[in-house]
Amino acid sequence: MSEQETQTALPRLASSPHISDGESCTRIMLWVVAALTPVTLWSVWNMGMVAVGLLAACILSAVGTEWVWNRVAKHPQTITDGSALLTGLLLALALPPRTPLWIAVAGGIVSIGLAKMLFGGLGWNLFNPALVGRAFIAISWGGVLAEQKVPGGWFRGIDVLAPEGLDALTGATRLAIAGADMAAGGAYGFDAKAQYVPLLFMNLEGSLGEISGALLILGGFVLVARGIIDWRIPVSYIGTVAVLAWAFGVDPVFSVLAGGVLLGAFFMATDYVTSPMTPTGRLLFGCGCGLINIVARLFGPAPEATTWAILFMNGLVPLIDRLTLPRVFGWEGRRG
Amino acid sequence: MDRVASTPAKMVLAVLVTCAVSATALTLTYEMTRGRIAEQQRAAEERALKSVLSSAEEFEALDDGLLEDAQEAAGEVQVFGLWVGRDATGGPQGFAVRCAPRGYGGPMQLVVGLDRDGKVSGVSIITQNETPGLGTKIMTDAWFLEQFVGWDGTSIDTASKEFDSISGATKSAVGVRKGVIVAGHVYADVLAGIEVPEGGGGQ
Amino acid sequence: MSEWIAVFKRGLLIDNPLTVLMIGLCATLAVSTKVEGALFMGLAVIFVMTASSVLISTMRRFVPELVRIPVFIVVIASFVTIVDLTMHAFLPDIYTFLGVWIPLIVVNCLILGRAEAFAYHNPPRLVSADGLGMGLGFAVVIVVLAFIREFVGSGEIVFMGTRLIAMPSWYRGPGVVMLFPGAFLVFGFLVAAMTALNRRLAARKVEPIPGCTLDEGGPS
Repeated sequence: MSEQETQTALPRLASSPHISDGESCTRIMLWVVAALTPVTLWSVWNMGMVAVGLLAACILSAVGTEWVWNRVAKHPQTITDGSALLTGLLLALALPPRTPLWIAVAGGIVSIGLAKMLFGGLGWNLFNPALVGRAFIAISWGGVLAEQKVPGGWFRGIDVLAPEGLDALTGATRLAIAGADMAAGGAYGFDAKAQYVPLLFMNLEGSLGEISGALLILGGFVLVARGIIDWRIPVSYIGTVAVLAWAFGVDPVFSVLAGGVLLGAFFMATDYVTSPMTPTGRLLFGCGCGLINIVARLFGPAPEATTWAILFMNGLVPLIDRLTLPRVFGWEGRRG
Repeated sequence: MDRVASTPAKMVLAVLVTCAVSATALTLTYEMTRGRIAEQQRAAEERALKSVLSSAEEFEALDDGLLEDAQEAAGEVQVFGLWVGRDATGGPQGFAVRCAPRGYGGPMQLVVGLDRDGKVSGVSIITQNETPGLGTKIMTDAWFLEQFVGWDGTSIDTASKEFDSISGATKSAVGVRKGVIVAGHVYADVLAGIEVPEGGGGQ
Repeated sequence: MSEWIAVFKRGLLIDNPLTVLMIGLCATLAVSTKVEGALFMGLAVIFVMTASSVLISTMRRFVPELVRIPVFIVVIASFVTIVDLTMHAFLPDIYTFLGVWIPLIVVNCLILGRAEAFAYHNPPRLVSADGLGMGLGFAVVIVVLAFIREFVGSGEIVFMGTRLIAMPSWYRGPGVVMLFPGAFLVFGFLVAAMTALNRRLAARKVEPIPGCTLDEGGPS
C-alpha cells in the first residue's frame, strides 16, 4: 500500500535546506525537547506536582493517541520519532498550570488525532498540532478554566473581553491587565519596565512555559546555533512584535516578554512541517505572525493572540511557499 | 420534449401568470396568519414588559418626541420603544425601555424596566442571535439578568462598574450590560424629567 | 414503482444533498446547534423542496426556457414565504430560533439546483420522489448533525421545552462544537461516515437511475 510507504519514508523529511547530514527526524525532535528542558524543569521546580501532572497528561495523551491511531489504522508505529512527545510537551507548556487534567488530556488527543494523524501523520499536517490542541481548549473550555480561577495567561483572553469589568477578576495576567489599561486609557497603568525581571526569570501568571523568558531564549539560541531552527522566523517574528509595539506606543520589551511570543516564535512557528521552506518565505511568515499577534493584542478582544497568529500564518504557508519560490535561472517573469 | 418556445409574448405571459398565482397564494396565507402573528408579537412584548416591571398591569407607549430624545441619550444603540407602566388604578409605576445593543451575533432586543426612581426593576431579552449554549447563557443563567436589578439609572455609570460577566460569553454579557446602561441614560436624560399624568386616561 | 424508489433513494443516500453534493451548507451549519430547530428546518426544506419541484415539473411544458429561472425563483419564494408566515404564526419560538434562515431557504442552492437539474426535465411522479428524497436526505443529515452538536456541545437535548436526554451534570462539553469550527468538524466526520456507507452500497450493485442522465442539461 503506497500510503504506508509514504508513512515510513516520511521521517527523512528532506525538504528543509538546513538539515545537515546525519540528522534524523528523531534527533531533531529530541534537540527541540532538550532545548525546552530548562524551562520545563524550572516550572516543575517552582510549581511542583501541578506542573508534573500537566506535563504527564499532555505528553501521555499525545503519544498514546498516536500509538492507538497507528494500531487501529494498521500503520507502522511512529511514536518513537519523538514528534508526539514534542507536541505533548509544547501543549503542556502552552497551558496554564492549573488546567484540569482531563482538559489537558482532551487537548493532547485533539492535537495528535485531529491536527496530525487525520491529515496523514507527521509531515502532512497543515497546522501546528500543539497549537490546534491549545486553540481547541481555548474555544471549548475557556469558560471552565476561568471558573476555576486558573491564573491563566492566554486564557484570560477568552473571558476577559470586557475591559471595564476587569477589576473584579482575580488572577489576571500582566498582559490582560495591560490590555484593559490600554482600552481604558491608552497606556499601561503599571510600570512595564518593572516587569522585565519577573517575566525573564520567574513569572507565575501565565502558562507553564511563560515561567521564564530567559530560559526560552536560551533554548531558542541553542536550536539556532545548532542549526535545528532557522533564525529567520524567530527574529522576524519577535522583531515585528517589538517594532510594532514601539510604533503603537507600548513598551516593546514588555510586549515581547509577556504572553506567548517567545515560546511561539522559537518553538512553535519554527515547526518544519508548518512553516515555509524558502528563506524569504520564512521572513514573511515571521513578520506575519508578529503583525497579527501585536495587532490582535492591542486592538482585538483578547489580551493575547499568539495561538491564532501562528495558526493563521500556518494556513498561508502553501501560498507563501508558492510566492517566494526561487526563480529558476533564466526563467523570465513569474507565472501569476 | 415539446416545450413552449421562448417568444417574448410567451415569456411575459409565463412570468405574469406565475407571479399572479404566487401573489394570490401569498395574500391568502398572509391574511390567514396576520392576526396570529400580530397577536404573538403583542403577547411576547407584553410578557417581556410585565416581567421587567412586575408592579405594573398596563403599559402605555410614550410618544415619538420622547423616543427621539431617548435615541439621542442612547447614542449608537438603537431605542425601539418607551413605555410607562401603570398599576390597576392607573398610577404610574415605572418605565420600560426597549433597545438593541450589540451582542456577539448582532443586535439583541432587550426590554429594561425602571421604577419611578430610576432603579432597574428587571431586564428581559426578547430576541437574540447569540451562540447557543454559550451566549445564550445570558438567558438561561438566571443570576445573570438578576444582577442588574437595583442598579441606579440616575448614576448608571457607577452602578455598572460592579458587573459579573459570563465566562466564554463575555461579548453577549457585555452587550446586555450596555443595554442596561443605555436604559439608565435614557431614564436620566429623558424619563426622569417628564410629567406622567396620573390615571392613564390619555386616550 | 421501483423507478420511484430508485430516485428517492438516490436523493436520500447516493446523491445526498449535504454529504455528497454539499449544497445548502450555509444554513445547515448555522441552525444545527439545536435538534428542535434543525428538525423544523428539515421539515420546511422537505415541504418547499417537494412542493416547488412538483409544481415546476407540472408546469414545465408551459415555461419557456429563457425565463425558467425567474419562474423557479417565484415558485420557490412563494412556498418559502408560506412556510415563513405559517411558522411565525404557529411556532413562534422555533421561528425566532431559525430567524433569517427560513427566508433564506429561497436562495438555498439545493432547491433551485434540483428544480433546474431534475424537476424541469422530468414528470411530476418522479420529481416527487426526487423532492422527497432530497428533502429527507437534507433533513436527516441536519438533524443528526444537530443531535451530535447539541448533545456533545451542551450535554443535553432539549426538545420543545423538555429535556430528552442529558449527560451527567459534571459533563462539560467542548464548546467549540457549538461554534462554526465545530460545525465543520462534526460535518466532516459525517461526510466520512456517509461516504463509507455509500461505498458499501455501491459495492453491492449498480443499477441505472431514471432521469439521472446529464444529457438533458444539468446545472453548470
